[in-house]
Amino acid sequence: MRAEAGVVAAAALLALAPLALGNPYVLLILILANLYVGFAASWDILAGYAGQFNFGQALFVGAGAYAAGFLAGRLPAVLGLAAAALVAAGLALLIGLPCLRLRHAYLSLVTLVAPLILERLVFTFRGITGGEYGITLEPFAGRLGLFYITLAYALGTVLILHRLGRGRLGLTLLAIREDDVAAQAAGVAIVRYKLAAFVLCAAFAGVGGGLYAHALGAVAPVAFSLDVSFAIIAMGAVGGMGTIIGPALGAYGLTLAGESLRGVEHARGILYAAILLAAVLFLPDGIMGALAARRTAVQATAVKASA
Amino acid sequence: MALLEVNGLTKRFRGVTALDGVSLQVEAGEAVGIMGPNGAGKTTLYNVVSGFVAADAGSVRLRGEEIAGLSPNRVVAKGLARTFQVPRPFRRLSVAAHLEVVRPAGGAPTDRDRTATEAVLALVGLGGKANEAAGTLSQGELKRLEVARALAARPSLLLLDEPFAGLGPAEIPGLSALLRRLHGEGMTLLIVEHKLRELMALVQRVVVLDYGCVIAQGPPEGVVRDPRVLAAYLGTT
Repeated sequence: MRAEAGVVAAAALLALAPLALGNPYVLLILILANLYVGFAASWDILAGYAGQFNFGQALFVGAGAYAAGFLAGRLPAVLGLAAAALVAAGLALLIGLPCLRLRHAYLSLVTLVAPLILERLVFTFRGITGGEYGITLEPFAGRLGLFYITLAYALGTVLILHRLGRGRLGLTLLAIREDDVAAQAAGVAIVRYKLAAFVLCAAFAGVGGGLYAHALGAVAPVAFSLDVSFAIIAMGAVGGMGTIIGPALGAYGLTLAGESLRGVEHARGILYAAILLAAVLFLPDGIMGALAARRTAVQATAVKASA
Repeated sequence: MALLEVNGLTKRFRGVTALDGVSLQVEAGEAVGIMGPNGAGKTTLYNVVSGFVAADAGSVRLRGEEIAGLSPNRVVAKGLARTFQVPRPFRRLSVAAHLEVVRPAGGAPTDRDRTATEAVLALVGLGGKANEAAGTLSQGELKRLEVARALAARPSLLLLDEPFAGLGPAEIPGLSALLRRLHGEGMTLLIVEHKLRELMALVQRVVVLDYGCVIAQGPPEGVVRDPRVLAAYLGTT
């Protein structure tokens, strides 16, 4: 599979990066880029494949960060990360079960509001969450170690979700995205599939959120911010929704672009808005769409298996 | 026991009574037509029977089992599939992919599945377009894809919603032959259709709806001369 081979090659190249750019600050940027790859790729499974626009990916990132942050020092990091995935997945079920039957736009509104609610809860239960001060934690690995671990996380997330996207799950989600009424008439249990996409999205983002907490050595309510959610949306849209790899590219591109604007912090929001606007106007299918030679149909998995 | 039994089906949308105690039966192997002027309740009937809309009263029984209130995909699992008046393809998916979405089993597609898909596509005359995006098909081809997708669910009863609508003289015979062949092979058909000639060539019995009520039922030749039916269509008093 050419695309997947490309991803592995890119990861291999990145693995060599610390040899050339050993500077710890640069490593932190790359760690963040790796994490955003995971956040954007998992967002894509819900927004790009299932067609369910998610305005609050930060919800799962933040939930995972707080879960891992809280458990750091109490449990081994691996368990903390597993808990991060479970907490995020649990939130997805909690929101999804009542709300996935809602028509499209209403669930999107719920995703916009949910992180704000959780942010409020963080302040309410300040005994556990540290309120506005958040939690500080001892990272389970040094910066170099975290770089490789987050790189593995990014690679694993992209490969697993890409594979799922090319299989039966991805095909069904795309059908739901094209026309969910027709999908129902074709016998698809759309709520079950949307829920699966929601939970997958949450679990992978949650693990990343847990790693995020360790990378920063701290968790604060800002983890739930709209900035995080909108950055992820920009990455997905610019990279090309419904491809997994597109958002991964977008994640690296926008993280690095954002960092090059370090001097002008407040311009970052404008930068993302400008990029998003340009993408919508000139690259409606994102970078991946522009790279695809021509519009080909999404094939049945039987055909893809022989490709 | 009839294959499909609809009893006293009632559905109101705010002020409008779309279905007013509709009852009808379809025996296994029959081909039954549904007619009626616009707004008579034909599409609502389909939407209720296929599970997209909940009835206010009445029952829908498939092989004696109550299916009213089931979600659309559960109704399909019970053996009832429908097409849409305006085709609803998955534009970016290939023709073959449409059928794979329907395939009930889990796991990787087997050779048997692939053969079954090819067979259905050959049956509807879309064999050559298996890997084409549905968005590139003509209206006639889209109508046939609608039928193929419904067939992939292996239904016992096929509900067709104006299958000939929007088709030109070149495309009608092909679809008519396909439906006749399906019926000949034992498929039970329920067909909503305005094109009288095509409908009469396919069905043995016609049910006429008007304002949500069944106003006439019987062999097509008699029904189209029924004064009540003429009044409903032409609006004479």
